[in-house]
Amino acid sequence: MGHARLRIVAAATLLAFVVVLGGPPSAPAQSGSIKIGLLAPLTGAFAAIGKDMLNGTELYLDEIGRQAGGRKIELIVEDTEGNTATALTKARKLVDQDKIHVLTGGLLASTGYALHPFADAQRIPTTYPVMASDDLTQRKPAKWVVRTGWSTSQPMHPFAEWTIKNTKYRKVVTIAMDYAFGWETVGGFQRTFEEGGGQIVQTIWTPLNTNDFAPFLAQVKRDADAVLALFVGRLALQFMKQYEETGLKGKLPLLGGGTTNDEAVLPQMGDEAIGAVTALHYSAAIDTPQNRWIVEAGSSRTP
Amino acid sequence: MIATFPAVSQFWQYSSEEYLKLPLYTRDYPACKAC
Repeated sequence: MGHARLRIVAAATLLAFVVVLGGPPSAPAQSGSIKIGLLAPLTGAFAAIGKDMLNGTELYLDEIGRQAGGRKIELIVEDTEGNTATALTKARKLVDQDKIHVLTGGLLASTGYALHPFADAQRIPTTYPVMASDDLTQRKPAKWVVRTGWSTSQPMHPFAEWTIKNTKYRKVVTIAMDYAFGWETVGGFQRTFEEGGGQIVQTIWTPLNTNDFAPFLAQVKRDADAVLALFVGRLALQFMKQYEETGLKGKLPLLGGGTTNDEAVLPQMGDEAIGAVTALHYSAAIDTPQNRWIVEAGSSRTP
Repeated sequence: MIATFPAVSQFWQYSSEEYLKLPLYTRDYPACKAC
């Protein structure tokens, strides 16, 4: 269950209402329903995450009776199929045909970079609850996009420091999905890790449509101290399974970006997940009243 | 959870000004010098 996404999508939805209801001081009075367009990968390799995103949004809308400021809220959902080009097409449809007031959602970091100029050009208030593309809040800030989540490399800098201080791993192989999220995950870890005295001794990039990781795992240098992995959704399940099947689990300890075994995929994993250490900005195990609520509410909605 | 780092900035403990002068992390940056 993706409690992380349930939580942050709910927060983003709240922000969307603030954007719409607050409006600029000179804006004319609005009436009718507030239309929110949600982009989520409801089919394809990342469908489980997309369904969590939708559940999180629905959860919050139900909590507030599907209205705000005396206006009804209409949620229009589009399936991105986990594809950036499709996400952009669906965003255009939401804006041009459905006349949404707010755009939200999206999963892949590459989609985040593609939607950013679109949102600015269309002047459509947009929230990114999940997409973590680093540069959207760094070198290329988007005027019409508010990111309510995190940035990709954010957990990886401290994770590299933790690895230096708490393990003897000094030579690490990285294996990651070959797109912005993978590059920024590896890059953040590599910078701090190497500044701390470690070395990245091999980088392996895997296409997003990889179904069999065996050819890539066969390349991993066996004399390394550990492996750092970054995968998402169905790819994370497949990678972890094959990391064990190929015998690497018993030889090279596994580190990773958080999505490699977060709560979105962990319930579907077996013993292959035991021993892996990953870093993320959120855990369902956080013991606060708010988090306990979101975990319980999310669990009751997830089949 | 085995460790928690509170209040982590997207720039970690680096100067944001210096951080932004460096390139975005990509397939080729940072370079893999030990590969």
